[in-house]
Amino acid sequence: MEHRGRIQAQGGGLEASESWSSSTPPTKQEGLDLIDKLERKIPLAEAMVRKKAFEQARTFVERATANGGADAQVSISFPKGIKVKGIQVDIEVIKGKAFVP
Amino acid sequence: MVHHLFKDFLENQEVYVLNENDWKDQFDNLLSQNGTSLVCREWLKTRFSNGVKFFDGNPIFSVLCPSLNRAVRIIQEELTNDHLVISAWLDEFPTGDDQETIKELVIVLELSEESRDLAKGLIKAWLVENAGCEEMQNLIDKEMTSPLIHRHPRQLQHLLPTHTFLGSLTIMEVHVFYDWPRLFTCQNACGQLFLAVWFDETESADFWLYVNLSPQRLVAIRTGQIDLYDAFRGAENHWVYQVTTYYDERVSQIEAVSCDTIDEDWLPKPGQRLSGASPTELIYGISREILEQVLQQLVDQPFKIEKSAANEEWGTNCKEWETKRAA
Repeated sequence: MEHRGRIQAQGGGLEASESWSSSTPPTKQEGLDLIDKLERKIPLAEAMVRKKAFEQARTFVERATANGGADAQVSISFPKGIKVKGIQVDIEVIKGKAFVP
Repeated sequence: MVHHLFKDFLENQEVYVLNENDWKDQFDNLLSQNGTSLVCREWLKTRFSNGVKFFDGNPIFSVLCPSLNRAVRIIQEELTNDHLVISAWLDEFPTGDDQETIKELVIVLELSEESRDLAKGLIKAWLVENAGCEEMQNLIDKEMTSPLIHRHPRQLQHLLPTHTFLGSLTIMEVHVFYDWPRLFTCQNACGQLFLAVWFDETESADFWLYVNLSPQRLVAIRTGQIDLYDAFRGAENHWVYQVTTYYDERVSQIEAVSCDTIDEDWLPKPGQRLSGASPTELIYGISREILEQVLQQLVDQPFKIEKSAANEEWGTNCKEWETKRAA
């Protein structure tokens, strides 16, 4: 597949992700849906401590779309600030492009 | 107290570029000082497709050494205080072509001379000395636990607000625990119930939302009939309390906030629910708490209780509850 990437929640013993692998780059809505799906699938406590991280990840996706998308390789970690115990959410554009309008 | 560098890198794009170049120079100097012939190249994109730079320090610098299949990513954060602020971990990044992954050292810091020196020490061990992952993790653990490095101390006695009009609170049930209680039910000396949710922190304080609840509403929330968002947004008396608790001895701050004006960022996400207890279990659980307190008062002050139809009915209910509970 030409376009690959993942959104990952990690730290504090958690390792969960939602990935894409497709012939067309994921759109903004598809990116936001993946974030929602990941947030829903992890335990409530894990989601609550990453609330800010998920919000900032959404903001990045929206910002990327407003600027034509994001080209590989991109690796961004949220939330901003020190990630205590590595509790975070990452967006990784591994190959191709993502979050196109 | 540390010596900060490029203080306004997020506000001034010229400073930002100078800051980026400084990281490149620091890295080149590190390699040349150690006489290594390591070939590295810039790695992660920091621009969107239309060429607009991220300009957020996430990352401020990244480099890949293909021969080692190792990378370094540095995230530089806004300055928040005069302490040494730095954190690091090892991660993996898929290459995109196969199952192979790039091993990555990630460093997050508030830039100061001191944090930069620590970061350079870690980069040297990772790329120049090619330290093994276990050795590297040990080094990170050692460096990141230096007493100089700012931590987030938190003691249980500082979680509940003190000296506020909420009264003296006791935690009844913790619903979400992550290092410390993040969502819990508590009760004051008058028996008023509150649901409290943590929503943010700084280096010296935690921020909470408290909402006053009837026992019936608590049951509905506890059983997942009402989601956590509506628990606060739809508060029965239309008000919630924004509470700040400090890690030191400072007195807690409290402010009443109308439900209509609660910042969305403070609220749990819509659709997040508690579950796991049946309404019956909860009714008995909550009633028993209250029951025990009232029974204790009866024992302590037997002469003040007058016999009445209501008391008799209440006593009968208690016995029924106890019988059901025992069964």
